[in-house]
Amino acid sequence: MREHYQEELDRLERAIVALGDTVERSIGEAVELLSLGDRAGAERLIERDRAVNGKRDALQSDVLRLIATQSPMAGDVRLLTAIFEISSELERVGDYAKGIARISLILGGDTFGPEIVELLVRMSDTARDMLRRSVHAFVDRDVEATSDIIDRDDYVDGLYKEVFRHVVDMASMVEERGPEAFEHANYLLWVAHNLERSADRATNICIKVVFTARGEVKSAHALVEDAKGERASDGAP
Amino acid sequence: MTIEAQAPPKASANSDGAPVQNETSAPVDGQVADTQTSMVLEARGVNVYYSDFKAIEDCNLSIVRNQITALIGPSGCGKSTMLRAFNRMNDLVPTCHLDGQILYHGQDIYSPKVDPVAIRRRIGMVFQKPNPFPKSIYDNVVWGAKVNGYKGDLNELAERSLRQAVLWDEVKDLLDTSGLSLSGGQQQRLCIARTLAVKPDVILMDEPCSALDPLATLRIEELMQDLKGEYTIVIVTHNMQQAARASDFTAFFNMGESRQGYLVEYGRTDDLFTNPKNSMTEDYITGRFG
Repeated sequence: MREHYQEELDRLERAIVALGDTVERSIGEAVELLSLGDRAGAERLIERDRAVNGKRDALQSDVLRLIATQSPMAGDVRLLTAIFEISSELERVGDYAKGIARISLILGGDTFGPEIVELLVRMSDTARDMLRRSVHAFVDRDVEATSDIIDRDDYVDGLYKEVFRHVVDMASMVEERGPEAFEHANYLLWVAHNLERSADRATNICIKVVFTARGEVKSAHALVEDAKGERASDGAP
Repeated sequence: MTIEAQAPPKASANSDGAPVQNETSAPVDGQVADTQTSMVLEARGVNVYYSDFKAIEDCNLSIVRNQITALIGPSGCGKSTMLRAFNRMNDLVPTCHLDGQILYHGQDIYSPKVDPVAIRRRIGMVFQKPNPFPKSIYDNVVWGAKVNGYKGDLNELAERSLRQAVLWDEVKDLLDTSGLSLSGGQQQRLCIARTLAVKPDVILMDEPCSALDPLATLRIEELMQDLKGEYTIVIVTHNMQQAARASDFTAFFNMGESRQGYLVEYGRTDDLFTNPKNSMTEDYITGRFG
């Protein structure tokens, strides 16, 4: 029964995967363009964010239409509200990528050397991995996968602090690097901030995974603690 | 807390009809209710038969005071049979018999000492199709009270009952006209006023809106919300949105392999419609079967 309705739900889940894939790649690409000082690429990425916003709008409009016309209940209504919220989370990740592209236009390749770039690449790689895995965990209703994903957020936070230390050093090098050093250092900190927030969005998606699968609203911290408790009761390290 | 009942066949602890506290203690305001004070009706190990056919198997269900409880489930699952068991309306079906207990404020209403007419006065019923008598609106309302020897002011009773049923303003100048001249929604509210006039404690409603249009349906649902401050309401409905909108507790019934109805899950409506514990409930309320 309700094959057409089920097809609509399946289609929305596929659209979430596609949106996740788009913004996750945008984050990686934005950091790459920053390191290369690729202005044309950055402008293209900024332009592409319009499409991301459009996809978010279409998803949310479809969710509202299904709620209004199909009276979803139980797991279906949880799924639809989660799709609505996850589409917002992913759209914000798209905004972070666009923000990094805008900064790369300002910096014009001035990244204060490979050390900071390497840290930013590690941050973006980890955030991308978290985003990819969280979206797949959502589609698979894989609650067990979420604690590992959330755990990775600490690693991203650690990298952010490292970038912060480097940037503070660079900001004080006004004599060696000229009057723009402070301003550019500030922009690089924003890049790291955007990457750190992208990882946070993956954590938020994990919370929605648990909500969709089990109807439980739990904080990220509680999910990690639950997983530790389960591992301990299994006798696992 | 949502309460799950086992699907038959089973050898449950309650198969002897004894109460199981966890199943009968429905929560009020997030806490387990005091079953002695907040339960109006309680089914304990109830089986209902039509001749040899078992229509309800081992039902344990508590009805909370001043709340609206919806009974939902696919056609033939026994929800109307269960509703009618709550005021011995099934006694009027010669082949029907019941074992187990139905307690009304702790008293077994199927005890030989109990007068079924007195029970039906305290536990009134509103039917699927509005069924006013071919008499005036006024007579429709006061008839039950008159028959029961009501000694008070009948005019006052008629006005109060019609006001409670949110019908007074529409009919106050038409009290002498036939109840059959009203619209379907008005007729159903007239029947509710007639039920209220005998001052019941519980109102059982068997698909009271199935013959009404959406606006008349919403008026009845609003009326139920107004009435629950004074009365306890149990409603059978095929309309899941109505159960979700209008009830505080929901009991989901299904049919077993021998077509016997049984209680699958019972809990707060908010929980049952957002996060049911039983996959059968989930499949039914999301429209995957039924």
